Amino acid sequence: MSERTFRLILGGTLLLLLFWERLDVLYVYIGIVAFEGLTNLRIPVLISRLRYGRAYLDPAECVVGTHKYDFDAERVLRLVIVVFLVVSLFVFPKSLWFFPWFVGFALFMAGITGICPMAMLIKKLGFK
Amino acid sequence: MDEKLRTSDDWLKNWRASIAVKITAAVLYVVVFVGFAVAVLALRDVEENLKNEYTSEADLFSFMIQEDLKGIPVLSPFAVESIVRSHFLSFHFSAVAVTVDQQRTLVGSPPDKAFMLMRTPHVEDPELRTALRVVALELFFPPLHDTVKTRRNRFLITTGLATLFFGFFLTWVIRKFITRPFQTLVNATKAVSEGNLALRLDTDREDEFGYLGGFFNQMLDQIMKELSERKQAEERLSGYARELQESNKELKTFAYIASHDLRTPLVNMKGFAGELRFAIREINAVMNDVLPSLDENNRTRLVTAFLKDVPEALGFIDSSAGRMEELINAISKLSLLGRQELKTELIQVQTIVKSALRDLQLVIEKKGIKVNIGPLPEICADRNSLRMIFGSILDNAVKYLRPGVPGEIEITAEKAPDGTVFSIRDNGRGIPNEEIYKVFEMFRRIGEQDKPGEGVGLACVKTLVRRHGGRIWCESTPGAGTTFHFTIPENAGLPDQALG
Repeated sequence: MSERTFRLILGGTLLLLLFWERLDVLYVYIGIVAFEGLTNLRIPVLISRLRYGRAYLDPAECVVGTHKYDFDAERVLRLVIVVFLVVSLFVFPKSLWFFPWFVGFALFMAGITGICPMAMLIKKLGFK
Repeated sequence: MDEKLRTSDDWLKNWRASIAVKITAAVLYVVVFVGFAVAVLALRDVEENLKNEYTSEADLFSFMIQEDLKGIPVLSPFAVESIVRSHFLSFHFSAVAVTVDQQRTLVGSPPDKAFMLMRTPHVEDPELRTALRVVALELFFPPLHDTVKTRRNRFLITTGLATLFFGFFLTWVIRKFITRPFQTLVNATKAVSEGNLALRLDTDREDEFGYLGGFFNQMLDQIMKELSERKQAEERLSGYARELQESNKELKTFAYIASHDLRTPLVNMKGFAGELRFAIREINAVMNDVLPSLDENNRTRLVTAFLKDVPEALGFIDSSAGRMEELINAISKLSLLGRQELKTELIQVQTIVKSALRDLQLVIEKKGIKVNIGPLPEICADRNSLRMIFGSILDNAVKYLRPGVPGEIEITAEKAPDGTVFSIRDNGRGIPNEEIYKVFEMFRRIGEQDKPGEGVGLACVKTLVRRHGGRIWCESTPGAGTTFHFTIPENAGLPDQALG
């Protein structure tokens, strides 16, 4: 599974949960994304390893070149999503009620187009 | 145009590679940002607006009930309830509680945490016509918070879906008008690079792609024209090469025949000349006995003929035959040089030059000629040929020195794009400019003919250099000296280097 497909699923799921107002499932959702970000055990990589065997390499590990930080951009992206969702859903739910929707649409579109501005920005900042 | 070129869906497999998707993504992100900004502004006062909406609905409902009650003959709870029921479905509230003279009736079922508004329409009792009866309406609307959320969600989902459809439409438009012509051009360029020059693009469009297609076709026409011209030229050239090979072959045959078949009559001629000389000697022996019997006049004629004219004629025959033999030998040599197989090997040119100079050692020492040999490289060539080339040029340099001027010969070499250029410079007599073109011609001797030779040496040198795939030329200043230059290519002596 590619990161692009995963973003599409992640964005679509978030939009559905917001539409159905399933806050309980949203906790689980945020928990999974936070777990991925903190441990770097990312679902796309795990699924690909299940499909192609243990020899499958995380694309981030194969990146050649010099980076400011030896930290995967995909991990940072997940942590950023978690921070956005926690802040908008639990800290400022009234004033930032629209932000989870924005995150959902942005992820969904990143999945469709394969272009994720946030991931690009993170990589620009020097993450692997 | 080829259908294959027109429809290519590669971009579906690799969206990131598609210009349409990149542009669409950029536009969509802008639309999403703007959409959310608008949505936040639009939904900022949604709760207040909803409250106002409910209040208006309650006022309108109360007014309608009040108006309807005016027309009924008897004001009873049942009548009021039936009027409420008749209007209930036209409004957004979930339930209405009607109280007439403290008798309360509920229409519909109120939801949990319902938003409630109370209205008391002013009602006259139709029977009494004066007394006012108390009618109270409790209107139960859906919970405010839930409605606000539902409205927001609907709004956002609609916006999102609209954005998505807009994105797909935009992608389709960009793909149709930009990506597809680009893809067509990319495929056409690929096909051309694979050698399909007969391909042409549509030029029906009246935009930049139309012009591009037109110029692309024009470029292909031009390339095809030039290729066709080149092919014709190559065909002509190969025809000339064939003719040249044929004539070269004929020339070789001629040289072979000339050198072998002419030799037989020449030998006969020399042999019979010898016979004649022998016969003259016999006649001379007999003549002494015969001469006294002849008169003075006849004696003189006989003596002149046999002792002067005939030996002189025989002398001419001998020298002409000798000259002819020399010429035949020269032709034979040249023919042999043109035919013999070159055995190329890695050669130290320094060694070859020194060996050639050794043969001329006596003359060089006798004339006190100063010889300078520059750094000479190692090259790949036929040893014997190279030996003959240097030997012949050096022999000429030694032969044709200026009398009274100490001779100087310099041999150098340098790298050039077409191989190694060797130069042999002398300070001899030089060659007049008007005769320099004859230097490499066969049997041509230039200047004062005071040295023996057949005029074949440089012709042979030219043949040998040509057979190595090189070229030879000379520069000369009369009275100052001559420099012969010749090149030997890197891959000298390979079959394609030599012509015949």
